[in-house]
Amino acid sequence: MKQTFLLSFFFFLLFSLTLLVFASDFTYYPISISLNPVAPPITFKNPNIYPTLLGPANASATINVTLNKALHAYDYDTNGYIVIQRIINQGLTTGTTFSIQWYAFITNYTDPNSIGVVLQEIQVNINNNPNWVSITYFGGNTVYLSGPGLTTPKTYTLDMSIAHTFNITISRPKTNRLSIYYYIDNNLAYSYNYAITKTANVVIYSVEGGRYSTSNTYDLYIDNVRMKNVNNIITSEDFESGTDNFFINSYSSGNAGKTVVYYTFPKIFLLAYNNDTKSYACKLSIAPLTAPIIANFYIKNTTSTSTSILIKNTVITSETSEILLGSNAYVYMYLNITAPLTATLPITFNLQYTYHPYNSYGITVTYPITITYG
Amino acid sequence: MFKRKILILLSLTVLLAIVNAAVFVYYTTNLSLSPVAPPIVFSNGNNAGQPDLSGTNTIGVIIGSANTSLTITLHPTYRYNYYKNITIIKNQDTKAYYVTIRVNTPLSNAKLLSATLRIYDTTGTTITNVDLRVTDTTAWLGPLNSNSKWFIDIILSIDETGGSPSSAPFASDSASLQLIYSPQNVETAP
Repeated sequence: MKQTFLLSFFFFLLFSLTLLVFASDFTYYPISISLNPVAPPITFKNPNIYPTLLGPANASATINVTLNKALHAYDYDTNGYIVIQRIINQGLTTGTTFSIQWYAFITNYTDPNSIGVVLQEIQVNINNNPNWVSITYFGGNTVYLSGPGLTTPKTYTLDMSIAHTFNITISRPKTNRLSIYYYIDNNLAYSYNYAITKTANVVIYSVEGGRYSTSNTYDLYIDNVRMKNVNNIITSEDFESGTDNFFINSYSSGNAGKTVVYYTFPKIFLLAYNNDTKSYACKLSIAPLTAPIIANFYIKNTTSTSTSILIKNTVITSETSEILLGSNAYVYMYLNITAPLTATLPITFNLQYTYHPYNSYGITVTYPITITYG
Repeated sequence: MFKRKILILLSLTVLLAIVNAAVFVYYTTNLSLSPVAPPIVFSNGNNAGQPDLSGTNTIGVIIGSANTSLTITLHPTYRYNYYKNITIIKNQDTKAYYVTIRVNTPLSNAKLLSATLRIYDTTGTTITNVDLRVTDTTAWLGPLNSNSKWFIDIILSIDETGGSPSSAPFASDSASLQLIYSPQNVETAP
């Protein structure tokens, strides 16, 4: 009897549990997802600066940045200085001309006392009195053109986020006149005549850059030096030998100096074009990296420049700020890279170009960019 | 012996008669339905209706009148497309529910290198990533607590191979899913 009761209770319990399980409540809501893809609103374009391979839809890019060597003059010491110099010591007689030209870029500039940095200069001695014909930088997007007889330097507005070709030419067309020309990127920025006595002893004493005064800090990169002396003899230096054979009379003190390095001047490496009728915001970012280099990547449109991706042996800042890419307009992607000649190359940078409709964050698209350096 | 056979035959006949004289017993059962407002509902994410790629396209999010159905229309392009916070799953009940996502008809275009529906909570912690290219049902997620929200992102990676800057990666594709919820997480949803 007792067994029968227990058996009945067991089956009752099992039945109840089964009922409970089958009493589960499931509710179903339908979800439909439709994809209607579109042609890429933003596509990459090749600026033909470096060997570049675009993806078939121009939504990716592989770039091979070729190596270049340049002279790096640096002053990292507020109590130090660096002057890169070559003594010329040639007389400038009537009918002769002296010209110096190089490609230069200055960056990481601090100058609390506004002493400036000479980007290019000729010391010309007139009757043994030194005079300096100079192109000087005090920060911002302006350079100052100065020389004998100019009481106030002439200002010249220039985009200093990129390198420029500077040229100073001094001629003596008449016995009593010096003509001084300042060229920037092969355009005449300013010129004037300076009266001298017919018997003046004019000597091109030296060419130089940097600053003897202390308190500022900077990196100055120079390449493609070309000097035409008073005898029309051309001396050039591209530093590709790994040695500076031009600025042989340089001098410095403190934590300042000069060395030849691998250097890629700030240049456009890729364009992005907005094919759409609406504007987008875009930026660059980079994957983690460790390499013995200093590198910057940034973007520009016609009116503004993003902040930079910064690499100093490792990634310090991993993305740029966003900038506007208007309808039917371009943004320009820039890089500059420094590496010691001892660096193990090549180095690969894995960048991402990201964009989204301006002032809207619902959709973000990312295109890959691979840059091989070296 | 003969009598015994007669007895067996009689017994069988009686048994057959019992079977054929089946008795039907009827108990009264009352089934009463008392519908309630949906405890779990869809609502627009911050970016529903915001500009999508190309021209006047928008991130299309249509929610049924009872907030119990969802239609999403997107306009991606080549490479990596991230659609963020386009829909919200909200529990407006006083009790918690478990949720699962079932992909009945997956996205099928071969250009889709990946297609993920990401669900995450208010802290940004991922609840699950649903592969929209595979027919599958997730495990029970949650619970989605009373008055809590989950958010939906959709991430698409589209192959550039064979593409063109002037044409879309492919014409169209669609997926059919279900959001299933239950107060329990013991039994798998049928």
